[in-house]
Amino acid sequence: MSAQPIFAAFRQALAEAWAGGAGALLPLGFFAGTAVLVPLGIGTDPATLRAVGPGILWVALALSSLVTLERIFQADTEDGALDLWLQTEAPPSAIAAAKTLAHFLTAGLPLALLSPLLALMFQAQASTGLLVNAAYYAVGGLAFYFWGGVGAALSATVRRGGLLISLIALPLYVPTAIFGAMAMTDAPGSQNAPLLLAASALFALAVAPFAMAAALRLAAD
Amino acid sequence: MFSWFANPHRFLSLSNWLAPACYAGGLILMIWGMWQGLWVVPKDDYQGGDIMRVMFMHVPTAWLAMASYSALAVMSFIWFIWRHEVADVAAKAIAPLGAVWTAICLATGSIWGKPTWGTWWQWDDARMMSVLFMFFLFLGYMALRAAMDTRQKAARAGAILAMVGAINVPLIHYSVEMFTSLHQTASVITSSGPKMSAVYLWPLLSCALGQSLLFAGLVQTQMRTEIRDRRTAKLRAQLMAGG
Amino acid sequence: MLPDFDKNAAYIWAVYAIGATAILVTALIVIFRARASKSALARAEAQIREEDAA
Repeated sequence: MSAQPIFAAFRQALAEAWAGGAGALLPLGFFAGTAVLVPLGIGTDPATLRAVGPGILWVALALSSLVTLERIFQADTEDGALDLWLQTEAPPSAIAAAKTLAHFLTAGLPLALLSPLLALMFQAQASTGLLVNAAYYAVGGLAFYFWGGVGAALSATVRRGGLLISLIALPLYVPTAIFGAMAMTDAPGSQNAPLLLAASALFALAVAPFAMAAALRLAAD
Repeated sequence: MFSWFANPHRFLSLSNWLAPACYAGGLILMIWGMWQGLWVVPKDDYQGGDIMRVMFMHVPTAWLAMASYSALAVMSFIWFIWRHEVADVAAKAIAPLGAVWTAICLATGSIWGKPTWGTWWQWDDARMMSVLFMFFLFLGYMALRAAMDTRQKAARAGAILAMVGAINVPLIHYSVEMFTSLHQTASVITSSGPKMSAVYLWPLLSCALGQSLLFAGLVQTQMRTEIRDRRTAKLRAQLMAGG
Repeated sequence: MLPDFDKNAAYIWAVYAIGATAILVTALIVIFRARASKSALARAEAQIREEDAA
């Protein structure tokens, strides 16, 4: 077994995500666009915006993960790259995880890093807490991307798989979204929420690669 | 042990009498339980008066929503490991029926909620939210199966998704429970409420067992339909090849 | 005779009506599908027998 194919898959996915339309700008634009629509929809009352801001950003992060993941494995099944990955000695779960991680780094992580800026637009007080929140978005985004990857792998051979991914993945996003939103409140009983958020991300990292591998073997048949 | 059931012929001859028996038993138990629940048992003022009679319809559907998803996951697991076709036929039959029961559970729970909580939809109720997400899991499972172009692929993809969903159900439930404990509102019926007295217990058990039997009967009929459909498809293919 | 409920009678009957209707409709669909599949199989088998005879 060698790790070389895993790095190759990682680099390929990185290049793919970067080249597919203005690099990280595209998901960033989606994320910001979704978030900016909200004040237009619900009004500009600062207190309201401050209350819903963190939640809106979680929703936008979840949606953008679904949008970016739609083609993550589909292109590979179409051009035969998937068969090649599966013939290498590297475990398919590691390859799937590497590809998902690459997409997280190019699309999910930039969104998390941008979140303090958007939080300010949602009338949050400027503080170091916003940076902590950015870390929470990053951890939660990791879980979103891995569960979304399961949906993407399962629907790799399905035309218009994007809608299917959302239906499959959204229930799996629930714990992460809840723990993430709770980590950003100071309500009593939410002290453990950051740890639980991290646990839900670790759980996704532990389980999702194997489900993705099983789904990719199916897609290659 | 599974191999014994895995034979479609054995399943067909078993369900030939078991399905009607399930229907008969289920109907009798449901009718007796609902008659008791609506006409006989006294109302419980501590549980909001007559509205608690809704329990004899609602609680069995909640139990079946949970049980049917577990059954779906177990069948998927059996199919995934041992590739017994009957297990896949069962999983395919369970999913839409489970979705229907989950939807009934949500609808009846919502109607129960209106006079008790004063709202049709209570975001703060952990059970309601968990059942809602289970409904989505069922929908995703059915949509995924429908999107696959061959039966084998549908079975494999469905099994993977059902198992991933099943290991997430406890986590979803735990997170929702924690979420709702943050904003507790006063509700008449709580999970730590008063212990149910025996007057209500027997009709409730009867309704739950009755609905379960009815559900089991419907699953068997659906499985028989699926097995026949597969046989028809095989014959059609033979005809095409021969003619 | 219908029982006489306190203020929430409409809700109680609505729950039972929805539950009973949904279960009944599901059962009817299941039965209808079973019948359709039976006749489809019978047709296919008859066709096979014809071909064998011919």
